[in-house]
Amino acid sequence: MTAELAGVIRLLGVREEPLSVDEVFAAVADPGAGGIALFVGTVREQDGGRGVAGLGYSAHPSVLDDLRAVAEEVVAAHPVRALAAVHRVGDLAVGDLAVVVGVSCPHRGDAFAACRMLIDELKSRVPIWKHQVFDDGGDEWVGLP
Amino acid sequence: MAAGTIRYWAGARAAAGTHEEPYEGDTLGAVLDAAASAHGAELARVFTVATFLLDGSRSGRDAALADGVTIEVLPPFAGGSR
Repeated sequence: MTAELAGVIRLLGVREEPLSVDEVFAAVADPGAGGIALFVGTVREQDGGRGVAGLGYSAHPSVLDDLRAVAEEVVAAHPVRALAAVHRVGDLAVGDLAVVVGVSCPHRGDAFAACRMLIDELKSRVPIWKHQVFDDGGDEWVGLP
Repeated sequence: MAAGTIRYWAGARAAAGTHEEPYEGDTLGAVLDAAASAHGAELARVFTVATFLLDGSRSGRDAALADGVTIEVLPPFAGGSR
């Protein structure tokens, strides 16, 4: 990784402890930023019409390398001054924060676009799995047929 | 025949009932077919959508195996509707 990337990618994490929006917000502070976009993903109370009792996220050991690869692509594609992304793993309850990402750019249009790319690419390419337990006693691995 | 370890993640682990087990076989496809026969239809369904890594490199069913190669079965990631 170049020194430039190292300075722009401020925080990447996958952890069992509760997430903090303030932590991500603080991590992307930058004097060159004119706009900061944050996205927060939370555990929803229902999925496919069934009530969600709780869910568990688990990750492959390569998760941080894959998250870094996504972050580097976002930085290459947009004029990013600072970037941060943290995903929770372990058992979560409805309302808990599952993922928090943030991007600061000189202007808001780029901040929104970079933040959107970051969360979409993270969701599709970073090896994190979701196991939902429903209040009717059933369960499901999201993404499996 | 090559021999090594096959490792199941997340929903594949649940379907197989184990995190890892030894395998014997010449190709990835042969090992997957044997594992599906041993563990049942649920694991076979997971295989239809999973990604397979051989010592960390994404591989297809035709891939040849060598002794000591670790197979990893990765189900689709959490993704989510946009």
